[in-house]
Amino acid sequence: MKNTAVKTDNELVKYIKEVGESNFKKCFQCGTCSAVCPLSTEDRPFPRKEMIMAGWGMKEQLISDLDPWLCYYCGECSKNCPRKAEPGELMMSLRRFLISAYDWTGISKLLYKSKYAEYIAILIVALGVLIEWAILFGLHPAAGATLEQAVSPDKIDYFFDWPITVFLGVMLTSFIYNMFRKTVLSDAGVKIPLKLYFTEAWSLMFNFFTQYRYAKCDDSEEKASKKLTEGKYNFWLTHLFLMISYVILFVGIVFFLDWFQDENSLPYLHIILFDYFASIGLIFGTLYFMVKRLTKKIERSKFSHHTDWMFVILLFLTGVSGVILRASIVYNYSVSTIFYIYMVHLMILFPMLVIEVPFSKWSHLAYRPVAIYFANLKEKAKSLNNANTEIS
Amino acid sequence: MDNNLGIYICSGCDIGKSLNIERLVNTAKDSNKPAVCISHEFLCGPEGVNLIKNDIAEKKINKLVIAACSMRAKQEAFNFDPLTIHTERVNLREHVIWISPPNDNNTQLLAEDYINMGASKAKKAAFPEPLIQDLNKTVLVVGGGVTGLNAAINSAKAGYEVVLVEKKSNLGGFPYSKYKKWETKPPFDKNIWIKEGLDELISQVESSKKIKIYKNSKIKSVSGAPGKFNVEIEPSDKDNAAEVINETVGSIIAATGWKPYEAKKLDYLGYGLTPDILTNIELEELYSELSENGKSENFTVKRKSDGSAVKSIAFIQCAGSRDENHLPYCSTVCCMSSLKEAALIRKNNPDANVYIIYKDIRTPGEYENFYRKMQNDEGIFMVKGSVSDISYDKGSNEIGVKVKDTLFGGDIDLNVEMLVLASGMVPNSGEIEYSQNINLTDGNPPSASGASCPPSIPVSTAQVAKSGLLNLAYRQGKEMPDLAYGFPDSNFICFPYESRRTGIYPAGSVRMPMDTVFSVDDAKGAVLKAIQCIEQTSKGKAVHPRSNDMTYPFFDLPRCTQCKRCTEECPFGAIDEDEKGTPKYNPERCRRCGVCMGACPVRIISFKNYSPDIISSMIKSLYIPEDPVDENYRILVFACENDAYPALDILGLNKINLSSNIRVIPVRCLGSINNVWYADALSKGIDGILLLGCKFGDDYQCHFIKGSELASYRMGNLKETLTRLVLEEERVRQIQLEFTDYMKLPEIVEDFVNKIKSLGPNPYKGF
Repeated sequence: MKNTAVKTDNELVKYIKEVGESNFKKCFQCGTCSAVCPLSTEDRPFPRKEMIMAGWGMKEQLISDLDPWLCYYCGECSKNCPRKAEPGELMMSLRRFLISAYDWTGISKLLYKSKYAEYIAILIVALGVLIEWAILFGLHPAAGATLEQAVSPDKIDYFFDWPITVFLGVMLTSFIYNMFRKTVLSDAGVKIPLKLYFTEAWSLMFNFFTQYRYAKCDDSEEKASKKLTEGKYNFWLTHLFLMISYVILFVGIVFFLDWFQDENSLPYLHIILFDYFASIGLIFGTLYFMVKRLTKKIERSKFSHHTDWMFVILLFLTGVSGVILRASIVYNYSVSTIFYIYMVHLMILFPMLVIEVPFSKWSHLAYRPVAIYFANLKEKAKSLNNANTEIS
Repeated sequence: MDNNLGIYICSGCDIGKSLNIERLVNTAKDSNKPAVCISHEFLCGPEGVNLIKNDIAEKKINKLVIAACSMRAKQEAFNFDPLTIHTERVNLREHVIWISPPNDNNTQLLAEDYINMGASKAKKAAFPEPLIQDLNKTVLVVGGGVTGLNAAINSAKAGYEVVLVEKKSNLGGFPYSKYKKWETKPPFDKNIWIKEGLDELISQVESSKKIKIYKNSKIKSVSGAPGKFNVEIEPSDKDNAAEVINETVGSIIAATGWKPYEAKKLDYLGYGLTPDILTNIELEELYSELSENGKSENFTVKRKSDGSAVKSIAFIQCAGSRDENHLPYCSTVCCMSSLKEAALIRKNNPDANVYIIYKDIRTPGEYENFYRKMQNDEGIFMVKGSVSDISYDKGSNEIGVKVKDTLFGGDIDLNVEMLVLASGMVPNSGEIEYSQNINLTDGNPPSASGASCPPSIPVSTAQVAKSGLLNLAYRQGKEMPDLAYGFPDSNFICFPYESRRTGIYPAGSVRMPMDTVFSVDDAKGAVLKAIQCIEQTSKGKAVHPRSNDMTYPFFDLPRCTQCKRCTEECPFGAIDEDEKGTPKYNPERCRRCGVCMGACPVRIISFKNYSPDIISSMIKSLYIPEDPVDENYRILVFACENDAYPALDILGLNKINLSSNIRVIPVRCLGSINNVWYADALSKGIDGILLLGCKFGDDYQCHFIKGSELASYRMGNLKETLTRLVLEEERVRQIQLEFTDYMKLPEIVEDFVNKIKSLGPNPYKGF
């Protein structure tokens, strides 16, 4: 750390307090949390330093910190904290803070601070969807029209799916670039050679698709098979199931929308994959997490912010309405019934996408694997730099 | 004096199963010719005790040898009037059968020797003649602060007259003019005015009929002894021509309190650069000023430089404390004080940011909860680190603080508008002068642990009190002896309230840094000690550690050579001297340790039941076999009664064997060992002499302060004698032992016994 005239950012301290229930100011830096954390290493210890940085509102240090994304809230730190300062919850609060910090629009900050702002934002988007739908398809299908005529999949693609994909892509990419600037470029002590970006890219893909670090959250010495039977991998596997289902569905509605609107109910592969696997995954996953949040038995589910609930509820409702929609198609309901269900489904789905993906919790899907990637880059670059200086 | 000796041998507790009791009784009779010599299987029981009582009544037995368990056990059973009956406890249990193989000839010889030694002592012991006097029972309290006021009021409540001397014109001490005290109970936001509680206490003291108060006064001199201290009181102001007043008092409580560490010495922390860098005391005074001396709570804390409201303030803890170059110790209260001040600033300046830079935060006991509350305050930021630089920028009127090795993992800079240096407390025990400490611990005998007792407190700036606390007219000097830093010394481990001057009890922050809450209790403790001293002394009884001892050292002055060793070496300054150097003994000051007896080269000092002659007789009563085989070596062990003898007892309790070559003689203190005993032992044929006593040095445990150290020092004289006698100096060894080191005793003893065996038997055996 360089010499800097420290100015405590009292507003930041307040903000971190608002977006979580951590008592981080109680921390007296004993270091027990970092010692018991299974994911923290000697070179990258956490969450101890984050506790005091948050306590002093050290904005620059916190914004450039990748560690909150490396934490998977196993809660061991909170369990062992002698002050009940909730370090695990602080890392969660910091993730919320970072989401609003990478977002240069300022929208996330508002949504995180105020639950009413979030409700209103969702309503606005839902209303927007309704209006767009009305313009494109009217408020009721024409008499005698088929589903394809009443709701053209092409129009859905052109006027809903593609625009939203582009919008989300642009926003997220810009936020990720912001993250890159703040966490990698800002660290003048580390120069990353270009080829590392390619050689380390596999870690980005790997972590994105497996969330493998969840498995490392328990660093006890038992065999993996034993841990599996003891249920220690349950959270990870459920999350993996949910996430893969989501990706499958997303790919589906963007590229294979006509299959969804097709009343073909024979068990073709795509039907098994999209209809059964993904729907079950989405609904089961979200239900599992909602139950965990309600029963509050494990550390990471003890505290719930309004953004947590909104995310999981919207996803759940998206899944349920999607299943109902598909069922209504397969079981040949009347076109107007399908029409309205479809409309409602989009009025849930799009707010979920617009609000959650760039401006709220969904973004962790991007930030987490990217953070691991950046962390690997910096580590490799440091060891290369050291090797070079040794040689020279 | 009738000398009717009764020897009672108990065969209970397996003594009868491990020794040949009949043979023991017969040998005791033959060697000592007692009037009565019997054994009983349960001597401490009602039947056994009655047996003894009957003998006392009918056969006029007045010298008892009770050969049974340790003198530390069953004291209630063998409780006979010490003024008419001498009770000598011979330890056959812990020191014989529990540490030696049963039914063994060597064990038997050991038991016989102990009984013979006990009988020799009993025969020669005379009865104490206690000095019972009508003494003055007034308590003098020096200092009218929180401690002094509490000491005065509690002495009065206990029924004793009090003289209270205060150097200022008002009572209340240091905190009186300060602002608020800190909370002791949650939710920690009442913030009580100091004056509230203190005014009440002051009015109680001033209205008490038992308390005579002298304000604007200080002590000119103190002479005399407990029960008869002559105190001269003069005005504090030298210009005041008022007369000196004389008071006679029974005991003295020194509650002169503390003063802040000199702020000028904190220039390395920026003190003096700007008026906005101030000490914690000065901050308190600022609050008092801003609150118009307690009239208003609603004020904004303003900068001293330009009167603007303080928006950022930093506290540096341990300013000049826990620092080798300043005060090496922690003053206990500065962390609480800073937290309190931080809380008050946050109340009065809600927009202010408060930074606390600490080495550690020390908030003892329930004050921890106050610390937790302050941690949570949204305007208070704490971090551990060491301050490396303070700077002041005139242009921006800002103070720059550089802190390194912080918990952030690096260095930080802070720019603040006000900087508070939380400095420590220095006792008001006289003028303090810094000097290099003389290392007393070189060339020590090893301690039981093998280490040579290094000082455990940094002593590079140990302070020597120079003058002004009580001005004692004692031969050993005016001041209350201190060990380090000016705090009057006591045997801190065992007797924290006793000082090195009998009847004088330091209390409050002059004794050690403490807060006012602790001072209240400290005052009460000192009062109890002061009263205890007066009452004990008037009955002729000693205070700690030889409580209730009614013997006194007798000085056979016609034979005195005025060598001044006793007057110099008495740990308690009990012996004054005249112009020629003849000792003037003050019995009321005496703790009966016998260090004077050990010092005297012409042996003119003795106690009725403890003297050079008595111990010499004990040594001469030993049976020293001449045949130079292993089991016939004889090692004399002088064990001090405070730690060494109990350690031997505990070893016995654990049934751990000890060499049968040793013969233990308990002594009051190793300092009471007179060099003639070494000569007697060696000429008798003893092969080696082992001294077991408490450790000495800066972290001493010797219950009489420097007794064991003196024994070690005097052995230097012994070396010459030994060489003249063509005896090896290794035949005498001193070990520093703690009570808890009992497990090391077998090794210590065996090591010494082996050493002696390698030197061969004493060539004077049989002469």
